[in-house]
Amino acid sequence: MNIEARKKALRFLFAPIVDKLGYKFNPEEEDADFLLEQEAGLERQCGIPYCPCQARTKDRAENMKIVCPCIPFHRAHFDAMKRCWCGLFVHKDVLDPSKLKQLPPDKFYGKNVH
Amino acid sequence: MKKIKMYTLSTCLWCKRTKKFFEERKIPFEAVDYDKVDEQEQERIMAEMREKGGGGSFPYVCIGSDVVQGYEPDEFERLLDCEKK
Amino acid sequence: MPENDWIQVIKADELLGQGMVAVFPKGLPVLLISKTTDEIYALANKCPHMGCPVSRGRLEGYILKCPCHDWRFDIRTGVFLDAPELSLRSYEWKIEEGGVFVKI
Repeated sequence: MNIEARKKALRFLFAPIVDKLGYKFNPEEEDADFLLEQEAGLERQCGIPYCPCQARTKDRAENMKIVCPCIPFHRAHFDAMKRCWCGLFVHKDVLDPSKLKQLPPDKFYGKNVH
Repeated sequence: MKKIKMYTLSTCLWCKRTKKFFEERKIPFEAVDYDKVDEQEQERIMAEMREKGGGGSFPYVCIGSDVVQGYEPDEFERLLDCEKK
Repeated sequence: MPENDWIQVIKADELLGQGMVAVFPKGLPVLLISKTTDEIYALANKCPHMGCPVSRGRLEGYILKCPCHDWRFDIRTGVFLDAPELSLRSYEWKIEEGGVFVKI
């Protein structure tokens, strides 16, 4: 399948999932398109649409937590940012995603360690 | 001048923007794409990131002895300004 | 909305003791899981993530792991353990006259 067709397919697959989680595709079309293109490329390369902004290691369990959409595995962190790490998805109420910041995971989880 | 080193992914939008930030200001930096190096080097990079408290989220930017994880232009400016004062 | 029908999907003795069996009532992918002779679950055999057949996954206790990306579901409810908003659809079932029926 060519990359453009797969981007459309990934949108089709992920939209209902993230909707139930309170998110939507980033309304900045150019950003969303770039990120989807990277995911489609990663899927072509290794069979799985990994997050384009997080690293894979040799640990399968860890890698499975960064398969898009990875929101369920980083929920509290992403909810605090109102976006996922790579920014493909933002909270439904976000109108201007350029105002959202990436909050480093260690700073977020560091503050939330019980 | 503080040494600027960053770990990035070739697929990462925010890594590209981070590089652009420094390029536009003509500030030299060293960047390594994690996904373009061999497995051994990846393990070393990941160990370094984890040691400093970061996980596998990119970009990972070292400005002198400070680390910024994520695209944080205000924080980049602040750390660069610190140097001027 | 058309009413759901009770559809016979398999003979009871072909399911009981077999663990997991994939069936296709009305052409839809359904997974039957027989824990014991009177403890049966009927779930959509399609992961809500990317549509993988969960029947190829691993069942440990009541937790079924999708073979593609390890999404984990509680077969008693169909709920995805890492986000309860997502789930495998659960179907009513019954055993009658030696057959397993699913309401679909």
